Amino acid sequence: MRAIIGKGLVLLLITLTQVSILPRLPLGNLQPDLFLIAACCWGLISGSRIGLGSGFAAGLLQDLYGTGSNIFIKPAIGYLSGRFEGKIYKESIAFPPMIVFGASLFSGIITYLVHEEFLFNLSFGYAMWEIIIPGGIVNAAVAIGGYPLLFWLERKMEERPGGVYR
Amino acid sequence: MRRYKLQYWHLGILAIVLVLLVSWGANYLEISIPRPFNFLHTVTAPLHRSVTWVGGRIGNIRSFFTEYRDFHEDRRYYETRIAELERELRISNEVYLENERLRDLLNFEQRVNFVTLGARVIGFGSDTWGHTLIISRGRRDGLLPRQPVITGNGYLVGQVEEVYSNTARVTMLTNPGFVVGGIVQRQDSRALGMARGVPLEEGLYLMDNFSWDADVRIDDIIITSGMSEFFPKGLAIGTVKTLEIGDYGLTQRAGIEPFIYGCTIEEVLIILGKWGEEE
Repeated sequence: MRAIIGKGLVLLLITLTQVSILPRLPLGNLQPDLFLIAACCWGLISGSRIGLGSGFAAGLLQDLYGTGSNIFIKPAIGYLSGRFEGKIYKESIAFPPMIVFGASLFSGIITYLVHEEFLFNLSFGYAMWEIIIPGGIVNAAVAIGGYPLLFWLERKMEERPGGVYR
Repeated sequence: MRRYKLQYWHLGILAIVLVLLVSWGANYLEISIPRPFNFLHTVTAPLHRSVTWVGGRIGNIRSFFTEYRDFHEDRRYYETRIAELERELRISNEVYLENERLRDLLNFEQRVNFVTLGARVIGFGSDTWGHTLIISRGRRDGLLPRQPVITGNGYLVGQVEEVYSNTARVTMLTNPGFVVGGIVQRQDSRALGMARGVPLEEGLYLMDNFSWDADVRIDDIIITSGMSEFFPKGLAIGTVKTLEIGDYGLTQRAGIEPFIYGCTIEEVLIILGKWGEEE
């Protein structure tokens, strides 16, 4: 229960940051997708099931202010990232950014394909080189700091009074 | 036979499929249903307002310290500028009065003054694709979908896309799906085209469907043509920066720099009235 409440609070904080703070910074198209990073990292830390659930919650919140396709992209990202759980050292800081970069490409390409206003108005090359790849690089860079932070929070939330992890 | 065991992730997938089916079904049948998370939007809006308010206060304090030294220089500049503008205003008033007299003589229809409603920008789209704004007015304030949104000085910002109880989502003119009819604001041209939110290069957006012989020049100002039922005539869109031949010589295409490009939009005006009325 603590983990669920904790994730909820983190998602609320991410929503506020993504919608109210990041767009006011002079970043242009280079805004990190914090929802994607969170869904991806939670999948890597806690597995497919948690990745799917947290991805669904992240996608739902993001679609309040977004394009409308995140509600199925983010759970898929959480689930697929969760497939790597147990295959990597959770303390690794090199691998998660690579997964986040791959997830960003996946998310960007699916977003491009399912929205007709993007598919018919933007060339695929423009979308890749101006939006998807730069976005992926920024997401990966943010994940370098974001993954250890979420990992630390997850450990804190799972700690029992006797100091035993779940 | 192996007994089926319900797992959490099965429920998750079922929930996603249901939401998608309802959403796509409603879209396909063009049924207007309340989106399942409209209430969440209403619940989170005060939080966004709070963050925006705190951010604004912090920005004001920082500005006070960083910009104080420029104040005196700015003051001298603005005093001179105000004097110039007052002179131009007097001339403009003369032209306006003359215009009114000529309109009366020709029995032209009076231009309608827009009924506008001010709103604060409390949030932005959560991704870099959509170019949307969240504003602090909603259904309770009389907003309707498709109403035009402008800045205080008349620059076109976009169009209301979705209206919630206390907030609304605005599609900006830099959204790839946005289209509006535009006209060159030059007495000897008045060429018509379609301004779109399709990006060409950094800061430039497509305006196409100019006729092959249209008189369009670099630095021409583009305003809304008023041909659409949703946008009144005369809202400033942007400035022509590039020109090229399109459609094998049958049309011309321009790259326009929207006036709102690169601006931080904090307040907007929504034009209420017949343009937003639903059929």
